[in-house]
Parts: sequence; structure tokens; C-alpha cells
Amino acid sequence: MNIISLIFKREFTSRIQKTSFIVMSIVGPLLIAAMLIVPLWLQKIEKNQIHTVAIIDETHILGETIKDFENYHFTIVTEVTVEEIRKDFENSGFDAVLFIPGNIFASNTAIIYSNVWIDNALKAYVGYVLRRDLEYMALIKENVSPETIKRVRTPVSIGVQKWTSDGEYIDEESSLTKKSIMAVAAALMIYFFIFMYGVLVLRGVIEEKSNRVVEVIVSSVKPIQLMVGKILGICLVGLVQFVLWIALSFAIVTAAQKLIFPEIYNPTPLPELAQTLESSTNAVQFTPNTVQYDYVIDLFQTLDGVNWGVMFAAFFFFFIVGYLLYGGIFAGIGALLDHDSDTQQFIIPVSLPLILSIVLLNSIIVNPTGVVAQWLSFIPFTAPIAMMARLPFGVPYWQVLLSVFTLLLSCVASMFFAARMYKSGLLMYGKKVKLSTIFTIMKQK
Amino acid sequence: MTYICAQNISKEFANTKALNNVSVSIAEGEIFGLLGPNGAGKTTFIRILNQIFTADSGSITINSQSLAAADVHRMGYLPEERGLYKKMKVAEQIYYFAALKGMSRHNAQHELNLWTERLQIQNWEHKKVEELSKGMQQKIQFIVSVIHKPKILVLDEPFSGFDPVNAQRLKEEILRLKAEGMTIILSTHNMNSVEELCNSIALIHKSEKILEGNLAHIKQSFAKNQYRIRFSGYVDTLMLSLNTSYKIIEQHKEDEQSEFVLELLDNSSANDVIRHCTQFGAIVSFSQVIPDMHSIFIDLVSREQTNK
Repeated sequence: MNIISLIFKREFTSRIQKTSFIVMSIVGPLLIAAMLIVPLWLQKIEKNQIHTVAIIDETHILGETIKDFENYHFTIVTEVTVEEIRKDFENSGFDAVLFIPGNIFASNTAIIYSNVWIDNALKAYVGYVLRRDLEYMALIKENVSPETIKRVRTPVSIGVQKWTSDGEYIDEESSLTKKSIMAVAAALMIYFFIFMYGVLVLRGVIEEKSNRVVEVIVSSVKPIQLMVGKILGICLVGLVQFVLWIALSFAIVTAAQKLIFPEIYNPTPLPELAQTLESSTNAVQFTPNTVQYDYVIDLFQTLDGVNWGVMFAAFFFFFIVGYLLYGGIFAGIGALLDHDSDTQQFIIPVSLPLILSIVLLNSIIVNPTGVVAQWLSFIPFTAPIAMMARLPFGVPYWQVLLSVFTLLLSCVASMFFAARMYKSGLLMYGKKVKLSTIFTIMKQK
Repeated sequence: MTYICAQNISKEFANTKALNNVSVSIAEGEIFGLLGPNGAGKTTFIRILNQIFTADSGSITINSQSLAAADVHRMGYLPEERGLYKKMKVAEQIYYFAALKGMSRHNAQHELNLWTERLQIQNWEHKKVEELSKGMQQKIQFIVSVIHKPKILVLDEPFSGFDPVNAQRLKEEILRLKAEGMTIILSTHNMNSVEELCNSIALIHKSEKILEGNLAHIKQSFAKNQYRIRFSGYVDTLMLSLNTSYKIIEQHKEDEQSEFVLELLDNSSANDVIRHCTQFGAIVSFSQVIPDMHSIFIDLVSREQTNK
């Protein structure tokens, strides 16, 4: 036991002091934080930039009801044609031109000219206002009184309320996106960690072999002690890195929230928002772009509203067993190889199930209780990723237990495999390793 | 007297016999040479002794006790293929290997200071192994094998990679360790160092031991009743007369003196030769030709080759 702890300590300390580990510990959280912050930040810049849209209104009436919308400012221009603006667009001071033709009552068509991409929200807003006013004018023409129009115009909003199969209400609508984000993040994270640290085991074993230092070591310790110490040491490095990533990402994102997005972090409370909408003179609300905005707010709330305890515990468990499963296989293969250059042909086939579960990640998240998701979480090679992706949506206990059971069982098998390869392969040099080599060793007594 | 006793060791790898019924006995405090051509099975034997491999059959005892797991702490091993952790600092590395052999850091520190002084290694403390010269790395590797003061030291080609000065220094250290009571097993192709260092040897060829014993006795037993004579006088007449009753192996004529080697035939003794020679002139020197290990090795191995 003492020997294993010595090896464990060396594996752990030598790796944790490496520059690459320190760099990864800083770059990783920066990337995670950047993935959260940069889109928001760009959106914020976008929001702060006011685009001026010129309205050329041949009807001389419809243009006036188009009010400033989000970061679009509308100005009605007269005595100018579209052609004149087009020829000197750069100096016109406009970002776009909305042309309302005189025949719009018949053609039902208006055109936006611009040199930049036109936001769907802008199109939807302009379309909505024009439709509303054209309808209004048409109804007036049919001798419908304005009072009646106001009375019959009924804004309808569709609310969605989900409940569980037991009939309990769940706050599904907002949390579904939240859960999907969490599922993707957790699945990618565990994929990354299992893959990275599994390969690290492989490289570590080969390093000792190609260094030839292994002969000195096995003259002092048993191969299995070396193997166990190494696998556990690297495992702890992985866990430390994970904790560092989470802690640092949290710190960076929190700091960013406080500094860059104070308004996003304190969203208007719901009742207040409803009141504002009610009191607005135009009874009809039009807020297409806020859908996207809400999503963004959600992203931040994801960091608040998740059951971190369960997710962490699950990550630790599934990382450890998944890592042991793959690490064992990688260690066993590494024990047979003597050059770093031989590794590529083995890394891909071994990690294929991991890649497969990432490929199937979308179908797991779309239908977390579906057949694909269930089977992937029972097959040990795909279970860590599948389970991490399913957990935010809730998984029946028996399925969790079955998944844990098959994983633990295959972990033990993987360790046996590694131990066998270690015993026979560590001092084997210059042999071309094929699948049959592995079977031959497995068959030996 | 036997300290390490290996009896009937056999080991097979994937249908090839690496060792076949090899028995060796090594006395305490001697330097034992393990010789043999490449691929003979020396390394397999060394690895079995170091408990890296287990023998398929046969037994090894140390001081009449069966080889046990704890014995690895009493053994030091310098493998032929050298290897250290390249990125690890020298001192850390040596303490690590010492710890694996059950030695405390404090004791290892003390020993390391002694060894770096003995082998004249400077400025090593904070260096990584990869920053050292090849010769330095070899020295560090040697220290790794002796830092924990083993009772038994196995050296596989210890002199390879050393310049003559450092090889000599190493030789002196090996002799010093022997004088301190360490039992040393030396596997090498360098027959000069075998003659300089070894008390006894075993020769392994094609998985079998074909020769074992005290070095001096072996050499004596390979002596072929040949004598080297340096002579001054009537050489040509002497040669003619010798030719009838002795076999002349080689001869070099010089102006004043000549040297020749002759082999005695049955019923004659060295005294007869001397008597015969003095009739024609004066004997400057007279000595028995004792083969060196180099020629014994080649002789035995090539003989075995033709036998099979």
C-alpha cells in the first residue's frame, strides 16, 4: 500500500507541477467563461448601437405609426427617392431604408433596403405594425367603428404548463432550455475529461516504457502496484483540474456579470413587467426579440437554479468510473506499445463509443427517456456521457442503478485487463502489436 | 559459502526457451561474472533474480532462504537499457527510487551526497535528468542502483557509455563496494573487466549454462600445456631439434632474441623443454600460456555452435 501511495504521489505531483497543467487550468475556465460571456457581450454592443432607418412613405400615413423599436430609430424622410439614397448611401447617415409604396393597399408589400443583414425582429416588427394599420384602415372602410375594432382586437398569448406523469406541476417552459444547456455542458465536460485523462494514462505508460525507466521500477515494485498508483494519481489530477475549472469559471462569470451585465443580472421582476405592459397605451404588445433576450437571461440563471449538488456528485462518480474504464483499457494497450507514434491507431477505436455518444447527444436531449437514451446509459462505454446528459431531466432510479452497476462491473473487468497486459507487456519491446497479440496475452495463464 | 543459489531455473516465453535448467551458485561478497552471447538468456536470469519475472520451474535461495517479495529491498539493479524520468529533477528522482526500495529521504540524502562526491558529479541538485550529459546520466543511473545500500547488486553492462577515466573510477567503486561486503553480479561482454573484477563466472549459451566456476581455475583448466619461451642463441638449430618432439604453435624471429610458443606432447614436461633449450643458448623468459577469458569465450561458444 505504501508503494502504491509513493507512485500515486509522484504521478500526481509531477503532473500538477507541469506547465501544461497550469496553462490548461487557466485557459479552460477562460474558454468556458468566454463561451458564456462573448455572445452576451456582442449582443450588448449590438443593442447599444442605434440603427437609423429612413422611411420613405408614399402613403403619407402608414409611416407615422412606426415607432422606435429596440435599437432601431425611424425617421420619415420626404422629397427624397430610394434611388437618391442608394447612390449616396454611405453619406446618407442611414443604415436602412423602409420604402412604403403608394400601392401598398393593393400589393400588401413594403421593402427594406440596406447594405447590412436585416434582423428578423425588425422585419417582424415592421410587418406587424403595417398589417395592424392596414387592417384597421380596411375595417374603417367597411364602416366598422373604431370602438368596435378596439373591442374585438384581442391579443392572445399561449401559456404552456407542463406536469409530470404523476400530475405534479413543473415549471417546464423556462427550465427546459436551462436543462438542455446543462445537459450539453455536462456531457461535453465529462467527454472531454474522460478522453483527455484516459489518453494521459496511455501516454504516461508509454513514456515509462520508451524511457526504459520501467525496468528499474519493476525491479522494486509489482507491475500492478505501478499501474494502480499511476491510474489513481492521474485520476486525482483530473478531479483537481475539474474543481479548478468550475471554481475559476464561476469566478470569472460572476465577475463578468457584476461588471459587464449588471442589468441582465437583475432582470425586472415579473409582476412589475406585466404591469408595464398593461399600462402601455397600445394594448397590443409586440415583443418578438425579447424571446432571444430571455434565453440569454436564462443562460445566466442556469448557473443559479441548477441542483449543483446532484450534478457534481454525478460528475465525480461518472468521471471516476468512466475514467477507470477507459484508463484501464488505455493503460493495458500502453503497456504493449513502446513508441508514442504507435498510439494513434489505438486511441481512435477505443474512444469510438465516447465519440458516438457525443454524436447521439442531440437525440438524448430531445428525448431523454427515449430508447436511444436508455440504451446508451446502460452500455458502460457510453453510459457516463449519456447519464450526464439525461440527469438534468430526471432519470428513474432503477435506470441509474442499472447504469451504475454495469459501469462498476466493466470497470473491474477493465482493471483486470490492464493488470494482465501490464504483467506481460511492460518489458516487451519491438513487437508489432495487433489485436491478436492482446488475445494471446489474455489467454495466457 | 553459497549465498545466492539458483537451482534448475527454466523459463519459457511464447514457445521459446529463454532458460533451460540453469543452476548457479554465488558466494557472499564476490563479484560474479555472468557471461554469454547476445540472446543467451542472461537478462532473463537477471530479471528472475530481481523478481521481475517468475521462473516456470526451479528455485532461488538467498542465504538458504527462498526468494521473497521483501528481498527486492536488498537488491540493486542497473539494467542494460538505461532509463530515468527525463523531466524529473535529479535529486527528486533518486529519492523516489530510494523510497521505492524502502529508504527514508533523510538517509537517501546522506547517501546521495557521498555518491556525488565519489563519482565527482557537480551542479546536479536542481537539474532535470534531460539537462545532464550522457555520462552524467549514466552516473545517476548507477547511483539509483546503489543508493539504498543493497546486499546484492546486479550490474548489466555497467561500463557502456563511460569514457576510460570514468570507467576506471566506476571499477574502483565496484571494488570498494565488494570490499564492503556487497555481492555483485556483473553481466558484460567486456572480458577485460571480467578478468579484472570477477572472482567466479558462469557462461550461459543458448539458454543453458555451459560453464561455471572460479575464474582462475577455469583459466587454468583451459591451459593447453603450451609455453611461451623467449630465447637467445642458435635459434634455427633449436627449432629443428624441437620440431621432432614438440609442436611449435608460433614463432617470431628477431635480431638478438626470438620468441616462440610450443605445445608439449605426451610424456614430456616443462623441465625437459628448458633442458633442451639451454643446450642451444640462454632462456630469457619462460611462461605457461594461460588463455584469457576472451579466447575461452570464443572457443566455447563457437564449439557449441558447431556441435549443434
